Amino acid sequence: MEVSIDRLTKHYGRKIAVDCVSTVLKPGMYGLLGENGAGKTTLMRMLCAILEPTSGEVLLDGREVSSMGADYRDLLGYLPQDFGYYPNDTAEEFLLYMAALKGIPRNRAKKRVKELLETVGLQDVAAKKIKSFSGGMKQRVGIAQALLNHPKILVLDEPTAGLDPKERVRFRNLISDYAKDRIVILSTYIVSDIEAIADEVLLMRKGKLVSQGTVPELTKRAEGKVWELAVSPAEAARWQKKEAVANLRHEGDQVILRILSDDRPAEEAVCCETTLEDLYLQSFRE
Amino acid sequence: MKDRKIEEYLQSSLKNGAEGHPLKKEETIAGCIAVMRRQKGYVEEERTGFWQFLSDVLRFEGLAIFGLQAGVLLLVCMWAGAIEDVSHYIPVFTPLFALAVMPPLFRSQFYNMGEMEAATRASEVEIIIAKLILAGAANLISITAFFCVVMHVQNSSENMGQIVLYGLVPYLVCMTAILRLIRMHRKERISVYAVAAAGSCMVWGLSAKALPWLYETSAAGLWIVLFVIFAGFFSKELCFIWEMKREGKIYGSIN
Repeated sequence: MEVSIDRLTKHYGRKIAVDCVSTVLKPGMYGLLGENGAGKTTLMRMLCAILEPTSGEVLLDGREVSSMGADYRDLLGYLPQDFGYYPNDTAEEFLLYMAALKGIPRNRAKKRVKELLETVGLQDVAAKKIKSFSGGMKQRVGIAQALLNHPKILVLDEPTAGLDPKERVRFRNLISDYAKDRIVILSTYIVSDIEAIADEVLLMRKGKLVSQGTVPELTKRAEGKVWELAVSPAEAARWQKKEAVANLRHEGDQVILRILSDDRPAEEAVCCETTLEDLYLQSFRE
Repeated sequence: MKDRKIEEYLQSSLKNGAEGHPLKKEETIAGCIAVMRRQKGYVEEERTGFWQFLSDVLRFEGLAIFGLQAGVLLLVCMWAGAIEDVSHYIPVFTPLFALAVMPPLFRSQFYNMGEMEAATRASEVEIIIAKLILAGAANLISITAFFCVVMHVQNSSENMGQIVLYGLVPYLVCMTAILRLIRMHRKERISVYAVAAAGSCMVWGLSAKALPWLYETSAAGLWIVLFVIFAGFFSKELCFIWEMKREGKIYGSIN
């Protein structure tokens, strides 16, 4: 299975939300990274065929997805960024409703819903109304609905938003297990989530796909550009104004600065290992 | 296809002289299992057809659709029973039946579920078609019941044709506007439309007082013309929605 995104573009009037994005997605986990307004959500919506592109196309094994209709949507699991719910539905009712929309026969839907409620740890509150749920619990209901039809293509727009660290780890394990023979594409602003589970990272900026590669490949590009420098607290403020400081931590009387710079910022600065977060910050430095 | 892949795998294992080696045999078995597991993921799962889907929508939305219609019917019948010369005020009542289908029809947009629902197998168009079928059935039952009540109140079935026209013309105007709203996906216009439709009921009510000639037998021709025009618009809107389903067009939920 292969999803090809071919010169996909979306304009909103004069604003270009997605600008000629092309890539090929094969089974695996893809992390979509980018600042707010980079075009991640628009790209995901077009990938799910719920938003018509201005130009370009999305192909599944050579077939244009917009012409595939239900055959394509059958393979799709989608969690939007801001999703609603019917407040008077219980978690179980909501999932059964979504299962009906996904064309899952009633008896199988019941079994699947039970299974998924256990998977996302909501089995004890299955009969409670969603409106009484916390943000994290609602998010888990959203994740469960995306998985109802065993999707071959799973599109998750900021799925970890609102999840506590324990829930995030549980989610990461669930999804990385899922991505073995499926295409999973997720966007998140939590760089560590992508670093932990993504096979490949897609970096978007101002509607354009600026980089794509595995985490080691991408971090290698930023190698030799991340420095640690120990300074006094008084000097720290000066350095923050002068250089792009990715992190700052106190160690005894000193402040350790993590500086992003193409050149060694000071004689005492030590070059250190690059993380995806460094690359992200470097890409969006301005 | 599946068998061929397994066969290919076995053939290559045999060519490599793996058949006698216990370790290789284990590897071959593990490889075959992996191939079969991978293929298992591609087995098409059973999906429900449109009629099963319609019954599912009835299960989840039926109470709202039919409950609201029953409520409006009760209210309208009570109101109609208290009015003299009820036939002149029929255009006031029938748009209310159209208005009563709005909450279930636009529920997903109101609760921000549209995006999620549009990405399902059913798609937004099929969900809307299923809801429209149910809402249409509910409207048909309640409007027929209302006409029966009017006949009972009037104690005669005279001018029944005109009474039906008085009811259907405003109803078709409202339903055409609702279908257009659905097609245009303008969430923000829903409330504006609801207020406008409710306002139109008042205009029809005033017309009964201000334009009594409109409800004379001589004006039947005008009502027929209006009926034909709005039935045409209504059918056109239905065709647009049906066309979207036929073409498998799934865009349009998000603007």
